[in-house]
Amino acid sequence: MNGRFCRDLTCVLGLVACCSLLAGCRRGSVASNGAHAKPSSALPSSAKRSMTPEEEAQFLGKDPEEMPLLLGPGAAFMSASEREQRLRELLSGQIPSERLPLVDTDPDAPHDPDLHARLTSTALGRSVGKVEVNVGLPKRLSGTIDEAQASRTTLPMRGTFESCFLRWVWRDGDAPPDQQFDVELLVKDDGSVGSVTFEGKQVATPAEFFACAQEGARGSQFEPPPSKPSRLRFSVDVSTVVPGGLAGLK
Amino acid sequence: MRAFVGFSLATWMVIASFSAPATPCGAFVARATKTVPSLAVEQTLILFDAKEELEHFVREIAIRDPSPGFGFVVPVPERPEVAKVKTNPFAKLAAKFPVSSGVSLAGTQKGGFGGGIAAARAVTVLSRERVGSFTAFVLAASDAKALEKWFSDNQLRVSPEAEAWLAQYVKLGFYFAALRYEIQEKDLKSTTARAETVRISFRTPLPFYPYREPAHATPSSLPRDLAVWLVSTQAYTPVSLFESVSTSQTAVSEWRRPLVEHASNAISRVALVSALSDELSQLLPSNVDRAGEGELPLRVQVFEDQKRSRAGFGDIVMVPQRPAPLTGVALARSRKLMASLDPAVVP
Repeated sequence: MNGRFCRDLTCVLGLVACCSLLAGCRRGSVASNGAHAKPSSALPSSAKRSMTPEEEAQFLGKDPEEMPLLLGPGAAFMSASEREQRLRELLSGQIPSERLPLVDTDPDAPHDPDLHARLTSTALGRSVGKVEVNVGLPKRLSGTIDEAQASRTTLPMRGTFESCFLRWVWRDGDAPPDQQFDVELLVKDDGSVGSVTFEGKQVATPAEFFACAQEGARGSQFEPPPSKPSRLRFSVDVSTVVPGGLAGLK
Repeated sequence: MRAFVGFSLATWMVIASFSAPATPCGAFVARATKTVPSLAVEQTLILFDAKEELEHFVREIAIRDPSPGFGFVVPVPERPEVAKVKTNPFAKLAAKFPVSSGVSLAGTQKGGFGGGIAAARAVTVLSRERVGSFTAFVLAASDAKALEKWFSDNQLRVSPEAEAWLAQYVKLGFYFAALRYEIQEKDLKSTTARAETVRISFRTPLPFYPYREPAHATPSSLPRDLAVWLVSTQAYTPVSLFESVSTSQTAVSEWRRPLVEHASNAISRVALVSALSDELSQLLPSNVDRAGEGELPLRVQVFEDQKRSRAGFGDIVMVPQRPAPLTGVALARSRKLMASLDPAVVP
């Protein structure tokens, strides 16, 4: 038992020594989105403050080579020469860079194998026609939000709707029918958008358009926020003119 | 019907300051009265010659209904040369080296590079020439405010978010390739999206990708995709410094891999030439072995990034996957790259 303990202790000390160069190594697994996952609750609390990735791998019964390498420029207390030494090691391939955390998607979003093909296929060589988007002034349905101030946030949503509409044009290649609908927003008391609903949807409008528009609208922030949650409604008109078409004579 | 106006750059897409999906861009210039649809797809080919320490950064720019006063800026560590690429390589590249997982497959220009920041002038225009539909300026700057004024004087507007972004590069002594779109008569009649491809070549000891974006108050929420094909003689890992931007998060300052590697293929020069135009084939890196007798295979790596926001991420430095010690000279020239990965480093 003592012999095993000594072997383990020697192993741990050896790993600590090996990792001493990597002073910024921090224990803990990393989610694919780059956010730091919480340390494993299976680990002893003392280990949580001191274990290197290799040690943690041992505890978790994993191959240390599979553990993400949490490494950065260095702690504030490190000297300039130590930081530069670490950078030199990184730039000269002496750090296993393939083990640095990968963050190639949004948090919790899976990799979409078709995204590149989908976006590039809709990109070029299509007539986009001419598009006009008109966003009406917002009307307060409930709450305390100031309509004039809210318009500073709602009017710029024109860009979102236009962008979503154009993607539809590029995807199908044909001019979609004109669209008229109302947008109703729930603005929370922190200024963020709690919900987005559409009224008067066109039958031919693809769900992707509204999903895109909803996502864009939800990212808006109202400043100043209302003192309590408020509902707003405004109208949106989208129309197109395809070159050479009769509509172009309008 | 009011004419739809917009101008999109595949990488540095410009969206009007008032449009909700904030600019997914690595550069900035736009007029406040325009709304620009976002294709949200970026395609880049990097041809890197390790021996010559020379990078050719080939970028597709999608243009739709361009309007005057639009352009973009690419910061690079050393003085760049900007040129038009006649044949867009990306369709062929994507066919031969797809941007997806599970793919397996079994050639420099000199002059016009290098040099320190000229003189003590706040902004120095090192070159100005027509590149396709753009006027390309190569700039060096020692004062961020003066650089902003220069952009303004030259019909390129700097958004407030881009001011801090620009200042950081001025501090690091980077150079700027500024491309301003020159509207043409045919643009007023055209409503079809089209693309132009430009090459920005510069000296660097390791491949560099200008990835950092201005801090947007409202990051884009729309899908976007970045594909990078890297051709060199060895395999690299894209690494970027990630610093947490949210005050609610634990402070993080760590290196990340912002692009996923889909493929890393050793391929003969002949096979690769078939996928590229003559113009780009001539820019392939030297792959003669050390003895000068045989040819080493070239390596094509395919990377992709699907993040909608690059908030917190710095520029990308491609670091070798196998030990490749930097010589003293290369080490000295890597100071700006080091500073991209560690803000404490003084270039």
